[in-house]
Amino acid sequence: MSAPGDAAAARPPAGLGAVLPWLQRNTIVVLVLLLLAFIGCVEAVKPGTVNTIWLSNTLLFAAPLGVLAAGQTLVMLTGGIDLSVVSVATGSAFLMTTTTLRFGEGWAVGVGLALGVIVGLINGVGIAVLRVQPLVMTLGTGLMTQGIIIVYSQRILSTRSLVPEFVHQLGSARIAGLLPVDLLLWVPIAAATIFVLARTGFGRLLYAVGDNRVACLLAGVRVWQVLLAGYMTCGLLAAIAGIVLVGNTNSADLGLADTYLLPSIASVIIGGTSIFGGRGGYAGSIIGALILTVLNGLLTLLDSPEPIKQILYGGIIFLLAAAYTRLTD
Amino acid sequence: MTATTRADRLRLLIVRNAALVGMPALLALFLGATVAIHPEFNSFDAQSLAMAALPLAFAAAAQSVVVISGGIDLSIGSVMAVANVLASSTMEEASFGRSLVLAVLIFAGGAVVGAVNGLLVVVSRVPDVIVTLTTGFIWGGVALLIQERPGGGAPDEFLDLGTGSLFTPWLSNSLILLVVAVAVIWLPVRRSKLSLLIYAVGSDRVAAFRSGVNIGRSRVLAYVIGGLFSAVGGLGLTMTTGIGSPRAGVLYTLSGLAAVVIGGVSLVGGRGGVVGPVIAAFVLTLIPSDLIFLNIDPNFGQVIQGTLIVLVVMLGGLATLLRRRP
Amino acid sequence: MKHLRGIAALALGAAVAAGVPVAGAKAAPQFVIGVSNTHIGNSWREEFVCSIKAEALASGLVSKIVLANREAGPSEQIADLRTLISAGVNAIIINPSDGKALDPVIKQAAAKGIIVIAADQPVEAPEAYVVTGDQQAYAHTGAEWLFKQLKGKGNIVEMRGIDGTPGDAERKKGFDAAWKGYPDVKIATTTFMDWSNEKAAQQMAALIASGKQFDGVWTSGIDYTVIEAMKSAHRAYVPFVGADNNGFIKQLIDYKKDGLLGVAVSNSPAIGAAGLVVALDLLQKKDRPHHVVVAYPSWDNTTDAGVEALKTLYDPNVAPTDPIYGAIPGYGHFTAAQEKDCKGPGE
Repeated sequence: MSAPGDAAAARPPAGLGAVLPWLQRNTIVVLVLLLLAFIGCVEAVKPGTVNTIWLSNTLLFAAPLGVLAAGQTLVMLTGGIDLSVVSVATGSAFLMTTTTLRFGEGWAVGVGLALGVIVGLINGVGIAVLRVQPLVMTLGTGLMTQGIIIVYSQRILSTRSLVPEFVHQLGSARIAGLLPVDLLLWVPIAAATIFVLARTGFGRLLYAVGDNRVACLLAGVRVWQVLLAGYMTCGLLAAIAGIVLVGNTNSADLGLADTYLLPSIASVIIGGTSIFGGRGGYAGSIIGALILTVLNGLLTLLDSPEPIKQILYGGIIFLLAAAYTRLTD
Repeated sequence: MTATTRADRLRLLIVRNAALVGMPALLALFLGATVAIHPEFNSFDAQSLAMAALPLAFAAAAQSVVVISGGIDLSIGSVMAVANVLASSTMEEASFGRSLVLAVLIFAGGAVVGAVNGLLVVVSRVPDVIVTLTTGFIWGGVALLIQERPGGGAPDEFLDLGTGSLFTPWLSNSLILLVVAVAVIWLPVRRSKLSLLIYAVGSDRVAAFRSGVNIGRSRVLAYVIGGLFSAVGGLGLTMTTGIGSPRAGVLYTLSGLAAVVIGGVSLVGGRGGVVGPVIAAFVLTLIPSDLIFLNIDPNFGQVIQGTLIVLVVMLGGLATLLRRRP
Repeated sequence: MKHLRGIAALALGAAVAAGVPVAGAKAAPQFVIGVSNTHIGNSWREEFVCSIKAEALASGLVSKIVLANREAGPSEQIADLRTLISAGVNAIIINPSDGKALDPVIKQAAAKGIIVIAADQPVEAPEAYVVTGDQQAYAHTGAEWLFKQLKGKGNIVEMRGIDGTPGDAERKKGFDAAWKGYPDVKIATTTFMDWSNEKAAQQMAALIASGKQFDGVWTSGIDYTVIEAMKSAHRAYVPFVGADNNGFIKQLIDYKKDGLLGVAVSNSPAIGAAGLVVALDLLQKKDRPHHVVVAYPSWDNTTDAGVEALKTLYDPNVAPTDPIYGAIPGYGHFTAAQEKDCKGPGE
């Protein structure tokens, strides 16, 4: 998916050069203002809504999306995309809850995470080694994973499924009634992601590969390794997101993460990462995820009928993406 | 001219038209398997296949045109739903003649919807994945606005256009409808300059731009053609189910994309045709019924679909890789 | 006299053990039954299918079940039904995805002599037999209980199923009928949770986060995850209407002390088995009315006796979002264990 006129010069990661940090801070400022504007809308539609409990809930629900967006950010920086994250999230959660009683809590979580890594590996082999287009590769693995989980679900009907208690706490509990426990997972992941992207060689390579793959190859970079690692990490993060999600609902459901596909991609785009790669970062995706979560809550507040809400949802996300593309072009 | 043997030329012919030869062969294979599993295969089953494959075939056709132009359309299912409920809500008490007029109007509406999608993609410069994901939501909402719950109807003669069989019980009207629609929508384009533009834009946008091709217009027109196919797909849904279902389209977007990939159209753009994906749609439709006959969980069909995509593209990637090696 | 009865029982037992056909034992023709269900990943629908399989096994009259069980819309269900017809089944049990779209196919099946049963949701085709739970009564019972708990005044949340499905439409009728008698009850919000556990939980959480005020909740049968969402948000419990789901029943028992008052209105998925029972009767040329409406019980935790009854229903070996297992009285011979096993004849 290349475009003529995509003359965006290679943007070195933050820390190098005086211009970039200012620009990045600038777009973050725009995003934060946007977030505050949406929160303002919530308050305007129903005064009194925005309080600490509301904030706590919003953060609680934004966390799984944020984790999904982290993985999606990594692959989009390389110029790719991962459409299998939803199937992986749902599949990992489902695998975990249906194996807890048989293997014990720890191993069950391991099984769930393993699914993410395996699917990420398959994605990586196809995209990195065989040069398959990321969109169609991840579409295929997503459909495959979803199908396997459905078939598996038909087999294990009589087994009782159980969400491990610590996962349940992770997904739904709050410290002192306010601080969502899942933040204790999201914040370290976020910090690690931002650090990796900004300060490590791997992070720099992700940007470089997304920006100019050929140049990387010529420079002797093992591009396939970078991409493979990227997609495996994305799969792992999707699995983690799914596990947090099921901790929240406390029951495995084949449609668990269905509504998260568009938001996971949109958070990253709105957050400033270009789908063509080489530009952006996770900090923006975090704000993007928060914006979309608040938007969801805002639409729930409105008393309009379901179809209108759906149209508004699609329309607003489109406008945000379009505005952002205009801003950064 | 270098001396090429008959064998060389034959091999080249097959390689160049792989999709054209491969897809019918694949379909023949699956049909053979179906008859082997279910020897009582008769005209009733042929009719079932045609009716069931119709919506998917149109979704595949719509998607393939857009993909050839270098884009993608994740809102096809929703557009089909819009056409479906528009038909079912307006044709319920209509006469046959009036329903045909409405069908033509909805057909034209498909072009409008396609144009909107295309213009949004081109003008906003937002990647088509994002644009069509969001417009998918919007069109889905529009479908719900037109008809909030499944229902409506159409005159029997109109339904017969999809479910009947005009000539012989073995040739379902659905099949005739499919062939006519492809002929009317795609053949004129294929023979015109527009087709060249679409393929050019899809295969190398920079080169096309430098050759003076109006990229934006060509891409929008590709989406328009896609919209036409989606509209016919929605009308086909009305014919085969007799109702309008605002949420019906969901499955067809991704399955249509699967058919496109399996049908030999590369998502990179500029290659492939419409016929391959349409045939692939028939192959994909055969799978669930075959599984039911075999007493296997039909949900395996989805696993097979996903695996087929993965295998097809990975093999394609492998082939390209091997060709590059000295 | 006691001895005579005992000897008679022994003789009976010996006769049965010897394989001598006893008056009332069934003959053994072997029927092939087709089943079409278009909603998966939902434990209610899973038990629906399992109940049919278990009844097929327990009845001894079914040689094979041909199962078309996949996520599908009307178009795909038409295709599946045509496949079942082509597979040569004697009867088809359908959980219809639409009340009207399947009519032509049903007509074709009936023309070939196939008995068609629409179970759980009705279809319009006159050729089909309809076996449904009383959905209007389901909604009415729960709504009536709720309005009485609120003493006729307050704002409630109405969580419905999938918009447009016959089941949801029927329940709405029952709900509205009960609502007519309580004009001071207002609906704070109506949501369609599509009978999805995750969606319902999300909707409740979003509702709580939005700060909208509500005094009671009526749900169309997804309850456990909604209450868990309320618990996790530290939202005070309000009178709650749910179905006979295992986890909800446990919540009614355990959280009563925390203020949760609720009613579990049965909506047994074994209606599938009920459909098969009717089909088998018809195949054996016994008479059955065109529309069989099955009545369902309900249990609430407002009294101690109610809590005791709930305790007998709860099964620790069943997942929280699964409806309780077991046949509907009079409409099935299978045991809860057979239903959990989910094996049809020949598996």
